Amino acid sequence: MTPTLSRPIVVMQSATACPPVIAELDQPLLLNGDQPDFARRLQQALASATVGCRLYLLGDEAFAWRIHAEARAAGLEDDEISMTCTTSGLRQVYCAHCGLTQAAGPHAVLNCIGCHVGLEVRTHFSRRLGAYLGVCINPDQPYAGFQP
Amino acid sequence: MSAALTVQVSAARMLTPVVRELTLSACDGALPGFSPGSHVQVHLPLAEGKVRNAYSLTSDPAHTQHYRIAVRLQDASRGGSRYLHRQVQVGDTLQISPPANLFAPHGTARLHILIAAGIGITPFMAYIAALEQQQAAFELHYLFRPGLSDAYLDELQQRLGPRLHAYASRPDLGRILADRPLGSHVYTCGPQALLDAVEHHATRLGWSPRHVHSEAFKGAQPGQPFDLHLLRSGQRLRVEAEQSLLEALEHAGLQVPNLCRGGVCGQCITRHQGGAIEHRDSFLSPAEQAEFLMPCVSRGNGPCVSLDL
Repeated sequence: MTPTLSRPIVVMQSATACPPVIAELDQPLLLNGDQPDFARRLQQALASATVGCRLYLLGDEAFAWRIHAEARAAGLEDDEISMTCTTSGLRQVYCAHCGLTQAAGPHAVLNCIGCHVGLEVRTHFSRRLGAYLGVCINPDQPYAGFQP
Repeated sequence: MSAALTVQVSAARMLTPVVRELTLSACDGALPGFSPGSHVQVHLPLAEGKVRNAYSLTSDPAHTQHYRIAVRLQDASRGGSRYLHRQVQVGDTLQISPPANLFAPHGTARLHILIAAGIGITPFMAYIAALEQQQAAFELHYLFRPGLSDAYLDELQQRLGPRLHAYASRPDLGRILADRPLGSHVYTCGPQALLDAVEHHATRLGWSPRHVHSEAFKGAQPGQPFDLHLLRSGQRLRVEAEQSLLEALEHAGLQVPNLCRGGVCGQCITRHQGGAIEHRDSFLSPAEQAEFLMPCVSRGNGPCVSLDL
């Protein structure tokens, strides 16, 4: 028996032109977030992948890190996952006050959609959560910017 | 460094003609807990002075009333295993260092693939007890010489059933490592040649180094005697043929941090400043070896070695 190398998996946020690094891969399994049954396809691909498989993620930070967490849960290690955050889009922010992780734009401040506290997005980043830390920007008036 | 523990040999049995199992019980109070893959250093009073050999704990980590070790008789060695085979009797007391672990199982692995050769089965006896309790998925590939280095084989056959794969000659490692589910980890314990072969096949099949774990079975080997010059204290010492450099330092009263006594953990790293060195460790890179040595296994290769001690 000649063992075969596991096919690489490429996950793109949307069907865009393949960057050169992807074009050089040998028979990659291509998935994109626009596909209607994307979640099921991804789950299936990870479940049937074997040790030696490499995962390539392309998309904005919020997308790439969400898939990263799913891949880690499926047993892939950090060094088996390659990320290219191409488009400037959403990123994930973790609220230190209610614990909710939410997608947010590039702005430095936002209102938490869970507890409505005005958050300042710090540069502190959790690879496990795939999110930036959001901390109350004004403890004297934590809900100052909130308009119901 | 933690203080040594005094233990009593409460049972002894031959597992094979060359492997003796010793059960070590606490003399005063309980023994410290340990994790699977841990080893202890057994302090042995030999003619050349104190020798310390590291042995994996084979007992169930959930039970710390006693420890168990299994010692293979090594003919071409410095006499530590011979002492534990021939001199030590039930009822004797021994000094051991508290357990340390350089070979722990990966906590989140989906599947543990254990590969043991001969006496390399020892750390996996503790692994198997722990993995069974966790109901973790695992399998054991056990390579041995029938009737000689097949310690615990009967017990393992009964306990593991189809999860045990027994071999009397080197198995097809490529087959063992191929097409494994994501999150699999492989652990190898045995001679360096087997470790190298597993690493070779794992690399070829795209295994991440983080999923490949190993423990070499080697301690200090004898060599030529040589002199030692300690530059800071001005002391001059002799390292005998059967003695390791680390043991010579300890004999002279120097406290050098150490854990594995097998050239892998990096604790005893020491700067050398003169004299030819025969490096025998698996810790330092060649560039680092130009400046440092691991006195637990490495030796002088000429008449004298100078150390920054």
